[in-house]
Amino acid sequence: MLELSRVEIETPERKLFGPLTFQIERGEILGLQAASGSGKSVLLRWMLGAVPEGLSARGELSLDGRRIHQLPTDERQIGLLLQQATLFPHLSVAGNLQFAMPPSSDRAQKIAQLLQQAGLNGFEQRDPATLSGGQQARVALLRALAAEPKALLLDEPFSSLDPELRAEFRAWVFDQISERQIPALVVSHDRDDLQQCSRVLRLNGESVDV
Amino acid sequence: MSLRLLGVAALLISLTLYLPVITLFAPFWELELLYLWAELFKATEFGPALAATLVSTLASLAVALGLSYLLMGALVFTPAYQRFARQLPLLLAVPHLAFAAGLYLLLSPKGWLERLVAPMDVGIWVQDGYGLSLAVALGIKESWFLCWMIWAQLQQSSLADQFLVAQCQGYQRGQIVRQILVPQLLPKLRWPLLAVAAYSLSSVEMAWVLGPTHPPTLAVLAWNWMLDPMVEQRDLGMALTLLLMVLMLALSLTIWQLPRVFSGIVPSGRRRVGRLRIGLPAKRLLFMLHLILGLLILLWSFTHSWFYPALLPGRWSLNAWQSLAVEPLLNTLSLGLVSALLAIALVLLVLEAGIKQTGWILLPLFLPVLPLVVGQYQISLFVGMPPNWSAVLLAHLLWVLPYVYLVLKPAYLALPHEQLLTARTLGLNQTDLFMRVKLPLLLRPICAAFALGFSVSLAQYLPTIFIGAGRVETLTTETLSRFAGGDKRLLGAQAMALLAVALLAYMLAQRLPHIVYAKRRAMH
Repeated sequence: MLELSRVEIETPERKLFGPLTFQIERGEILGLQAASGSGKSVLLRWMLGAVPEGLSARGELSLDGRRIHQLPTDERQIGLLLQQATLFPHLSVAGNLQFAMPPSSDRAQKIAQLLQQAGLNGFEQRDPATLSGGQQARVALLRALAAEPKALLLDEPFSSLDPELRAEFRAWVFDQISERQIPALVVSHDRDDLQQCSRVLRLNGESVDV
Repeated sequence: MSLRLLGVAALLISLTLYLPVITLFAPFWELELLYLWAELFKATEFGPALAATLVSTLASLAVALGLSYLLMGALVFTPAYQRFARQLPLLLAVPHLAFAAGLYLLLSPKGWLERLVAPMDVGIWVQDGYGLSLAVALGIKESWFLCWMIWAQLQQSSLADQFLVAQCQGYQRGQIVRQILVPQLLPKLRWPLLAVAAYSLSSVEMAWVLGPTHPPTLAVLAWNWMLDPMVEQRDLGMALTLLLMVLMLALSLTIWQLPRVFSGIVPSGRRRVGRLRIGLPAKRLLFMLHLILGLLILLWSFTHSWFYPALLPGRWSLNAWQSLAVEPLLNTLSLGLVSALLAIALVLLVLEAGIKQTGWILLPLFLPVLPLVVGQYQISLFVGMPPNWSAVLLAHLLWVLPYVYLVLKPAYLALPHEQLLTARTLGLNQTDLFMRVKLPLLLRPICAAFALGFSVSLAQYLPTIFIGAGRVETLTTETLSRFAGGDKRLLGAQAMALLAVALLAYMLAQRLPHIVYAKRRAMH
């Protein structure tokens, strides 16, 4: 379970939001809706331990009962999927997945299986730049999950895709999250995205509406 | 006259200034090179000078790369990173020669470090036979340039998001820098690395202060030989400048292949457990070193007597300052001011004319200085230009222009297209658009380009002394003659004047946008 407790974030001029308190259960996909500039992406960055310069943050974050808000980003075990696929352009598709996977002798086999599940059979040696937007998005999710995170944050993950591809990709992403039974937080403006979530939070200044 | 025509005129003027690059090999046509090569290899100084040059150049590259890696590994994409980026121009503004003079006062026999540990004899020396102290000094100085280049690259890409994604996958900063940033940045850093290599290979002023003396590095040896009254020795000096170009070519080929070392690496997936935090202490140490060097220069400039092993001067005096001549200061200021402003005008006009192929402007950065100065000298003889202030100004422009271009071109290309288009729809013609929209938007990079151009002009030694035939004195030429004189008090005063002028120009350039646009936060 991912728990946020009394989280407040401020710029030097104003309070962005808070205090916020909520939990996300294992396998639950929580949607987060808020107006532009309300600080939802900042909240995600705080959860990752990467608050931008000039902002001050308070509050606690726990994952499966372990307090993690003072740990560095690389020790939090929280995965991230961004609006842009952010694939590493100097690595092949397989290289991107290998980067995320813990070392093991059967990595090549696992990568082949993952790509097959994602409908990207035989894409191992492809240059990420030659993939379509939808294909890049799939590889990005596979990469995020290949690191075996204990929670997943998704920042506008579907907004760069066209509407048809968006629904299909969203369903596939949500299936993958449910299969792995990890808590996930999805930031989105899109009503369809939010309707598919287990719950939706509306970030509204100091309070959260469920 | 339209801006386009002015741009073409600026292009032609720049091309004329670049004649020494185009006629780089012309001075060697009349030499009997085969005979000279044989003579060169027989010269007793040649072997050790070549070894010292190769060691100091390669080691300085390694130090510069290593420090940049450490600093960027510790700072990149942290809140401290933006602060560091803001400090970089200040560090870049410190003249190489002032830095070298400070290191000399710190590390030379009976220098401040030896005084600090006295009576222990630690055998601290500069001017070692392999040029290692020179390499470290060059490496530190050039690491700021590389960090600045890296910072510029990081501004233009999605690397920040890639960095965060890799952190989320459990990787530490150092691992991400090595596995994600270096393979992507190194191909783009080849040109800056070539510039570092060219400077290290052909630096005369730093090598003179910190490098080996008997024999010196190849660049200094070539310079000494070219000043020799005997024609045979001068020809040998010319042959050495040709050798410097061959060495530069070999270095360029090696640097060009460097990214390949990282291109085939397959990620192992291993996450490092322990943390090694040496980047931030290294940064603090280097900042402290700069501060100590500045203080040492200042202390020596006010010294009357400072006996070994005292840590502070015994008696103070203004004598060293009173001995400074005004003319070198005026020459330095006027050459720096005019060359930087001229270079800014030429670069902006060339860019505004929409001329696509402008990369050649950077060429002088990747070539050893000495052959270029020889080319400039030959051309000035050919056109009958007297060795005066104007000739030195034109000579300085060959190096000021590329650095100004390096700052202005990315800023010019990053001008917001939407705002420019909006201005056009409001009825502005090209000249109005340039004067009323582009120039105000470019004020900050223009000021940065001015600071850099000024400091490049300030640092020129070989073009000043060679093209000006020793008649145009600047703070740089005076600092080196004070160094040769051996009086540390005079060296301190002269180096302090050099440092002060460079820092003043930097501060002026830094403050100007704040003064002009005091109530426009986005313009600072």
